[in-house]
Amino acid sequence: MTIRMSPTELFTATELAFIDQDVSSASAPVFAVTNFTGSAAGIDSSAAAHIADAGNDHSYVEANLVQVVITAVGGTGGAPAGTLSVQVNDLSGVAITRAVTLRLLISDTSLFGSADPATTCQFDTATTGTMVIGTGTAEIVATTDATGLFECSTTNAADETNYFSAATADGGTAAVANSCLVTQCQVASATWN
Amino acid sequence: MSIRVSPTGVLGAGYVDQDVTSASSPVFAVTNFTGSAAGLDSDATTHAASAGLDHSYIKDNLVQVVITATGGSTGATAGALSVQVNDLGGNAVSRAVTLRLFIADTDLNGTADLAGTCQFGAASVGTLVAGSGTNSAIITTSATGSYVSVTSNAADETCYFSAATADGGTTLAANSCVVTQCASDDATWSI
Repeated sequence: MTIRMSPTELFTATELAFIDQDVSSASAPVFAVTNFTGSAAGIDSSAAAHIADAGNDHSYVEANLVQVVITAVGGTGGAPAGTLSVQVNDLSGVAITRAVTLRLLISDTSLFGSADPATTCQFDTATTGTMVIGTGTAEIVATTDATGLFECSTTNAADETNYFSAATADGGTAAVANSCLVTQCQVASATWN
Repeated sequence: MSIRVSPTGVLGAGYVDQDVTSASSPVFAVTNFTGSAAGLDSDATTHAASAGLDHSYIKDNLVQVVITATGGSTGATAGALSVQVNDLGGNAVSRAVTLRLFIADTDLNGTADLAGTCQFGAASVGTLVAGSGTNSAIITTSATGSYVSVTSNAADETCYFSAATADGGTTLAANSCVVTQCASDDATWSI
C-alpha cells in the first residue's frame, strides 16, 4: 500500500485512500514506510540493515550486560561452613540461559572487593556450576551452569561478617560465548558466630 | 491520519481523520490494530527516555576484544601479540580505544596470577601507553581498533593473555570502551 500526501494536501474523512497492496491473504500485510517523496532514505529496510546502520540491536544488551544476585549464609554454633548462591540475570532480572564466567570476591570490608580480600573466609567446593580456579581462597573465577546459577560452600574459622561481590572476569573466558559484563551486583554479607 | 487494517482484512477506503493542511510536515500516528498507542513511544525523545539510549551507545562503547598471541621456540624469547577491538557484532571499531592487557600464568586468572617472566614489549601498531617490560599494560589501539606488539619470555611455559576495561581512565572520553567479551588466548615458549 502506498499513500503519499504533500504537506498541504487535505484528506477528508470520506476520501478514498490510494491502495495498491493486496492485503487479502491470511498473512499479515506489509506496509512500506517512506518519506513524502516516496523514498526510504533514512529508513532502514530491514532489521539487518538497521543493525548495520544504527548499531547492534538490543539483544546485545540483554545477552551481555548482567545482574548478579548473591545470597550468602554464614555459620553458627561452631559451624565454620557457609553457603553461597550466585544467580546471573539479564538487567531486567530474568535468569540468563547460558553459562557465563565471572569473578567472585570475599572481602573483610563491605564494598571493598579486591581492595580488602578476606583473611580467613574462603570459597569451597562448587555444587552447581564450576569453580574454575581459587578454591580455598577469597577470590575465584567461577562459571555458572546453563541457567546462570553457581552454588558452592564457603568456610570461615573466625567469628566475623564477610562481604561477597562479583565482577567481570579480567582474565578472559574460555569461549566468547561465556563472556559477560557484570553491570549490577549488590554486595551480600554473611556472618559466622 | 489513522488507517487500521486487520491481518485478514481487505482495505477499501482508508479512514482519514487527521488535518494535514498546514505547511508543516504532517504527523502520522502509529497505533496497534486496536487503535491504541500503548507500548509505542510518541517520538525519539520519549523513546530514549523510556527505553534507554539509542543503539549507537551500545555499538560505540561495548566492545569485543580478540587476542592472538604467539610464543617462541628454539632459542627465540620473542613472541608476537595482536589485539583487535570490535563492536559486539564482530565489526572492527573505527576509533582508537584504550584498554588494559594482562599476561597470566594461569588461564582465566588475569590479575590474580600475573606472569612471572612473560612481558609486553614494543608496539608496532597502536601505542603502548604504560607497562613495557611488565605483565600488565595499558594500550591504545590504532584508529581501526588494532594493536600489535612484541612480547618476550625467558622461560619455557605457556602464558595466557586477556583484556579488561581500563580502570585508570583514558586520556579522552572518546578513547573509552567497556571490554564486554574477551576469550583468553595462550602462547607457548619452548626455548
